[in-house]
Amino acid sequence: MPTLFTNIVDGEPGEPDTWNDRLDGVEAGILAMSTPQNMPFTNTTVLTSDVSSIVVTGIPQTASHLEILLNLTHSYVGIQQGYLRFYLNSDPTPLTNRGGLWSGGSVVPLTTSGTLQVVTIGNDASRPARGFNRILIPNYTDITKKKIALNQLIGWGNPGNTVGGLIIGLSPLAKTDLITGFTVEDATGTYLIKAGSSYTISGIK
Amino acid sequence: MPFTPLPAVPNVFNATNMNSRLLELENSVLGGPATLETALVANTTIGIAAGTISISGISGSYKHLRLLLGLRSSSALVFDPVQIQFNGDTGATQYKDRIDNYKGTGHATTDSNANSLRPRCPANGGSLADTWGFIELRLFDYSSTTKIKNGLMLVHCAGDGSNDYGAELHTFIWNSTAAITAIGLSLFSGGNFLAGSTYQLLGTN
Repeated sequence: MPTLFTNIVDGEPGEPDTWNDRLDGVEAGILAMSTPQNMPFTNTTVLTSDVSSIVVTGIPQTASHLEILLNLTHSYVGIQQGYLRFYLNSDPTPLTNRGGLWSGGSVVPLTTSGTLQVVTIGNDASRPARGFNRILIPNYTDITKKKIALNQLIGWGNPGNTVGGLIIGLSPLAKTDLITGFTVEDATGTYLIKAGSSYTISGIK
Repeated sequence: MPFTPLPAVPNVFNATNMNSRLLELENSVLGGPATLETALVANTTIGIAAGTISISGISGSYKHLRLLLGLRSSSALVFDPVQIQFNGDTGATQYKDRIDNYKGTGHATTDSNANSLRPRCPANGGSLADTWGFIELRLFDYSSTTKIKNGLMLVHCAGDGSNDYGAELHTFIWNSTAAITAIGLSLFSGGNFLAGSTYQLLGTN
């Protein structure tokens, strides 16, 4: 018969330590070592109901750059792509756009200020695609640098309405604020972001 | 394969439990750290303005490379091309680059056949102070010794706040089959990268 101990006291004063506690500590060490060094955090959210906006706050400040992946469908019944506005922190001032889109087979340079657009796809059962946006926000915690965002996107409604390209933006008023959150919404309030849409927020070291 | 914490066993010290727990832990350790999807190879912020940035001794143990550059030039230009060379190769036509450029005044596609890749970064001559360019460079199969090297770049170059800033997409080859072990950066103007410029090099499996 093995000898039975219910507790091995070997810890801090007043804090019993057990063999399982100690092994848990070793496990935690191994786990820490096996976490990718370049990605201090990553989190994906899948919408379980239709929403009018996505509001994210409290982004960890532990990385060098921020990468946001948006994979969105909006409530418009049809196959066309649509646009939502994207803004940083809780400042609804539109980001200043520059860049270009391929739309309907031609290139459309963006030359005016406006909302930093993210692309979605209409809610049509025959085209179960979603718009895809990869938004990079470099140096998002550095308060000495004005904030910029790069949005690489593709939306596909039908061949005549395919849209893709690259949009860049400067943060409202070219602010140097650190970035703690973002909002995605339909500025007109007409459409919802459909359940099943998802977004991923990752820090890049 | 990510590390999975071991299941807890009853907090009782006996030979059966301890052997079981230690055996699982041993297997975890012997299995080595989880295969990292990406690993951080370099992460540097330049403390003093510098004319060149050199990354050398790049291990061949990854499949692809991803280089993130946050740069600003000291020159009196609005933009300054960043000369990127691999393994110190300065051959006159070794770098062939198709550039899709968007700016406030329109869109253009150009071909570059030069002694370096030349994405642009903002410079001190632009009206936007504290605005840093961002270049995401991806190199595919960089350690192959049988393939010509190819890659992509996504560039944000904010020089001033009116028309003259934009975005670039690059698709390029470096006309060599040598494994890439070093990356060198300098400015076409001969100026310096400002203090505060950053780079991160990631290896991807």
